[in-house]
Amino acid sequence: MTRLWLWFCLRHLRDSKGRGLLCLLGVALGVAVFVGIKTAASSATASFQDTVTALAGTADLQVVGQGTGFPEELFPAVTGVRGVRAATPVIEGNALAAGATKEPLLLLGVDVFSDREFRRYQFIQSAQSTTAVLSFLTEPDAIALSDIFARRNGLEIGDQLEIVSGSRRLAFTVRALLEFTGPARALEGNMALVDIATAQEALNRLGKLDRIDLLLEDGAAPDSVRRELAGMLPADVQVETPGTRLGRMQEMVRAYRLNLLALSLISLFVGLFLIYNASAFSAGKRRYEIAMLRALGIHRWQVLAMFLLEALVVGVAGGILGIGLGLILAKTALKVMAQTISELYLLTRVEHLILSPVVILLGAGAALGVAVLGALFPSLEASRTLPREALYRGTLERRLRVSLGRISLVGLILLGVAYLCSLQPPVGDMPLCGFAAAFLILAGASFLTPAAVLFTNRALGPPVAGLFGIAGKMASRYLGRSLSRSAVAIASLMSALAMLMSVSIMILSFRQTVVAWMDQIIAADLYLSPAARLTGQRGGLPPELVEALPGLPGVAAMDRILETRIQIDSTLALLDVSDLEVRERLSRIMYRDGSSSELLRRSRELGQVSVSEVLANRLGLREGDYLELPTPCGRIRFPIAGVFYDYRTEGGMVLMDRGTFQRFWPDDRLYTSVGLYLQPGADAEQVRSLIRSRLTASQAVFITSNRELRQEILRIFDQTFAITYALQAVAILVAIFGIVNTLVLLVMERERDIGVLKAVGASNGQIQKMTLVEAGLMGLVSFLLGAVTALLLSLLLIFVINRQSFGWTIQVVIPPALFVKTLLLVLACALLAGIIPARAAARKNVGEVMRLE
Amino acid sequence: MSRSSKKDPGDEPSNQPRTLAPIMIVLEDLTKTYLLGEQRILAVNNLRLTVRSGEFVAIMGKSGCGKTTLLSLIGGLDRPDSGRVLVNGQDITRLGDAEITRYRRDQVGIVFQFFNLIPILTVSENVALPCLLQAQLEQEVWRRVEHLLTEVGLWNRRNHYPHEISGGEMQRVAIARALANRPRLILADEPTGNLDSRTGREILHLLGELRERHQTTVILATHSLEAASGADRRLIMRDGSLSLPGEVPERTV
Repeated sequence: MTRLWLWFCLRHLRDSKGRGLLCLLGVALGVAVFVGIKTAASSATASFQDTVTALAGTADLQVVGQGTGFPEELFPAVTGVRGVRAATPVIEGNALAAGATKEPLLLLGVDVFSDREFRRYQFIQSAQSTTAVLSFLTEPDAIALSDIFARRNGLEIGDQLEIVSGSRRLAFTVRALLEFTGPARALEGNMALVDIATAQEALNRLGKLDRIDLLLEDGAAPDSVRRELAGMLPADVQVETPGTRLGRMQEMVRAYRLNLLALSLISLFVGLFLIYNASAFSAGKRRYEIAMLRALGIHRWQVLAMFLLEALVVGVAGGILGIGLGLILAKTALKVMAQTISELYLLTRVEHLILSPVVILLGAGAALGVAVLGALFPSLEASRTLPREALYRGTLERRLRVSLGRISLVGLILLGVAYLCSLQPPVGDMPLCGFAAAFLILAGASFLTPAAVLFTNRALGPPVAGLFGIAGKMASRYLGRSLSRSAVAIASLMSALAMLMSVSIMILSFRQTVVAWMDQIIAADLYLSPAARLTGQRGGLPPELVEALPGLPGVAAMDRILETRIQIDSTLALLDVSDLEVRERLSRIMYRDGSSSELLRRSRELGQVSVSEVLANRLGLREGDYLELPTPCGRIRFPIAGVFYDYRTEGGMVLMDRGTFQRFWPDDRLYTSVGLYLQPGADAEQVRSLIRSRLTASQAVFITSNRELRQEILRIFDQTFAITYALQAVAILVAIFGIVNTLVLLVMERERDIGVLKAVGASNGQIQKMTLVEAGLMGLVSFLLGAVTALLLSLLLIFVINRQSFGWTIQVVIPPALFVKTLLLVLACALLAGIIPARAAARKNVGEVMRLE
Repeated sequence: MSRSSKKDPGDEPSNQPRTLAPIMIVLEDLTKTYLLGEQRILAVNNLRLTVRSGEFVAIMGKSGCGKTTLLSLIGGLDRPDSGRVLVNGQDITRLGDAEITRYRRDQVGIVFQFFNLIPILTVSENVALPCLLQAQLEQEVWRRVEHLLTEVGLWNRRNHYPHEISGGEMQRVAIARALANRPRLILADEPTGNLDSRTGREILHLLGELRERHQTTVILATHSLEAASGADRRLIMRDGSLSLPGEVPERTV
C-alpha cells in the first residue's frame, strides 16, 4: 500500500506542482493568520500575567482601592488583623519617560523595608547595591530602573531621567539598576522603582495608597482573613488575590481577542474550498486510473486513503509553512494588538513572542483538518464511483444537477439553524452561538451557491453576451456548465467577500454611530487633559490650574470631569463625574429614553445617576432602578435617572454630578479632564495660548480643540479595526488563489474545446477574452451572492455578536459606496486571477488537439 | 537522398483527370517531428505535394503514419520543422499568429473524426461560431446558418445541444461549421472513423455534394479505401511520406 501511495500520489503531486503549491499556500496563509493571532494574543496574555505576577510577588492577598486609592491610615488597621503575618503598602502608577522615546513606565512605589518579604530585587553590581538601596531612603528624587530600560534609553547610574506623570513633569536621578527579574519584569522591563513617599508625591497621591499586599500566617484561612478585612474596610476598598486581578485584566480584553480569533478562522474556512476543488480535480483526472486499480482488486477504502493521504501531504507542508509564516505575522499582530489594548483597555507592553506548543499544535491540527476535510467529499466520491462511469466530469455535473434541490435544501436548513442560534443568549458572556450562527450562515450560503450561480448566470448571460459577443456568451455558458467546479470557487470567494462586506458594514455603522454620538457629547470648545494620558492611570490636572480657568477671558463655562474606574460587583465600570449643570445647559447626553436636559437636571437636583446601556444590560438595570456603588462612606444606593448610549468603554459607565460625588467622596479634588465652553465670538486659539502661557515648567497639560478631540477618537477607532481589515485581506487572497486554481483547472479540462476554437479561427485574444470574461463573471456572481450574505451577516454582527460581546447599540448604515468599491475590487482581483489561466488557454497548441484525434 | 531527386506525387496524373485548375497548395520538403516521451517521432518526412483548386485529394494510411500531422500543417494548426506550405502562393509557415489565425478562420474548414463540437453551444451556435469569431453581422450570420443547416438537413435540430443528437448528425453539424465562412479548403480528418458504415457513406456523399456546390478543395485523411473512393486523387502515406497507390515510397527505395 505504501508503495502504491508513493507511486500514485507523490507522482501526481510532482506532475501538478503549480496547483499543489497554490493549495499549499492557501492552507499556509489560513494557518498563518490563525497561528499569528493566537500567538500574539497568548503573548499579550503572558505579558499581563508576567506583569501581575512580578508586581504581586509572594502576596497571598491584596487590599485594593478604587480609582483614587484609599487613605494610608488604613494600613495599621490592616496589619493588625488576625492571620496577617506581614503587610506592605504599594503605590502603582503609569508615567511617560520624557525625551525621544516617550516610552511608558510603570512606577512602583514601595516601602523598601517591609517590601523585602514580598518582592525580590536583583541590583546590578552588588558592591553598590547597599548604597543604592540606602539612597532610596535619603534622596527624594532617587529612582531605580530596570537594566534593559536604562540601556535602551542610554541611561546610567547618576543620570537624570525626566518623566511625565499625569500633568506633572518630574526629574529623577538614576540610583540603581535592576536585573530583568522579579518586579523588574513588569511591562517587559519598563518599570521604575521608587520609595513610597516619592511615589505618593510624584503621582499626586499624598496620604493615599493603591494597595496593601499581605502575607498570611501559616495555617491562616484566607477566606476568614478576607471576611475579617472586608468587615473593617470601607466599601470602596476590596480584598482579593493576585489571580483575581489577572482574571479581571484578561476579562477586559477577552471579547477583543475572541473577535480577532473568529476572523482569523475565515481564512481557514476559505482554504477549505481550495483543497476541495483541487481534490475534486485530481479525482476527476485520475478516474481511469482509479477504475483500473479497482479492477485490479484495490479496495474502496484504499482509494479513499490514497486521496486523503495526498491531501495530508499538502496539509503537512502547508502547516509547516503556515506556522512559520504565522510566527512572523505574530510579531506585527502583536504590535498592533498591544497598541490597541493599551489605548482601549490597560497599559501593556509586549516585546516578546511566547511560542506556545499548544498554539503550534492547534495550527498543525487546523492545517491537517482543513486538508482532510476539504478532500473528504471528492475522495469519497472518487472511491465510490463505479469504473464504468467513465466520463467523470459529466457524471459529476449530472449528479450535481440532480441533487441541486437537496443541496439547496441543506443550505436553507443551515440558514434556519443559524437563525435559531442567533436567538440564543451568550455562553459565559461570550456570543459563542452568534459565532456559530455566522459560520452556519456562510455554510448555508455556500450550499445555496450552485443554485444561485445557475440563476444569476442565466440572468447575466444575455447582457454579458451583448457586451462581449461570442466570448461573453461562451464564458457564461461555460460557467453554468462547470457548476461542480465553478460553484466551489464562487462559494469560497463569496464567503471571503461576505465577511469583508459585513464586517465593513458593522465597522462603518459603528463609526457613523460614534460620529453621531460625538456630535452630541463633545460640545465643549477646548479640552484639557494630563499630558501623560495612559489607560488606567490616575493622574489628574493641577487643581490650582483648573480652579483658575473660569476667570480667563473668553471662558463661558467649565465642566470639571473625573473619570475613574469603579468596581461594581464583578463589573469594572467607569465613573464619570461631571458638572451636570454645565452639560444640562451647553451639551447633551444621548439618553435612550427621555430628554437630556430634564434627566440631567433631575440627576443633579435629586442626587441620581445615569448609567450607560452597556452597564444597564450587564447588570439588568432600567430607568427608575437603584444602583449600589461602593463609596468611602459605605455602599450607597443611587436612583437611576436614565440610561444613555456611550461608546467609550466596554465595561459600562456611571454618570454622576460632581455635587453628588463630593458628598460621598469628600476629599477628592481630582480632575482627569476639563471641558471649556467659550463665550460667543471668543477665539479658541487665543484661549489655548493663554492657558499655555500660564502653565509652569513642571506642568504638562494637553489642550485639545473640539475638532482635534474628535479626530483623535476616530484615529483610535480606525486603528482598532486596522487588524480586522488585514485579516480579511488574507481571506480574500486565499479566495483569489481559489479562482486562479479553478480557472487553471477549467482551462485544462477544456483543452480540446480551446483547440477546436482555435482550429475554427478563434484568435489568442478571443480565447483570452473568453477566460477573462468567465473570471469576471465568477467575480461578479461571487460579489452578488456575497452582498446578500453580507447583509445577513452584518445584522448578526450588529445585533447579536456586538450586543453580546460589547453591549452597544449601533445604528445600521448600509453604505452604497462600500458595495461599489468591493465590486471594483473583486472584478479587478478576478481579472488578475484570470490572466494566468487566460494566457495558458491562449498558449494551447492546436496541433496537439489534432494529434489527440 | 538529394531534394531534387524526389518525386512529387502531385505531378503524377490523377486517377480521374479533371479540367486543369490553378494550383492552390504546394508543400515543399515538409518535415515535422515531435517528441513522444523521450523519443523523437518523424511524423512528416521531407514531403512534397501539389493540390489544385477544387481538387478532392484523399490521403490514406494506417494510424500514426502522419496523416493528421500533415493536415495540421496544411491547416495552419501546427508549424513544420522545415519546408514550406504555400497556399495560393503565400507561405503560411511564415505567417504571424494573427495572420495564421485569420487564415484558419477565413480560408480553412476542418472536419474532425470526433466531431469536436463545443458542448455548451447549440447546433446553430456551433455552426455560427466561425462567423461570430469573424465578427460578421448577426443577421447575415443567422441567414448563413439557416442555409447551411438546411443543406445538411438539420434545420429542425438547430436548438439542440450536441449531446442531444446522434453521431452522424454531429458530423453533419461539423461539416456545416466547416463551411460557415465559405472556406476555399476543407480538411477532413477521418470524418467517418467514428460512424457506422451507412452513416459514414451518407457523410461522404454529403461532403462530395457540398464540395461540388461550393467549389471547395478537399483534403481527406482516411484509412478506409471506401471513404477515399470518391476522391480525384488517392495518395498513400507511410512513415511520413506520400506515394501513389501501389507505389513503394521513395525514401524506402
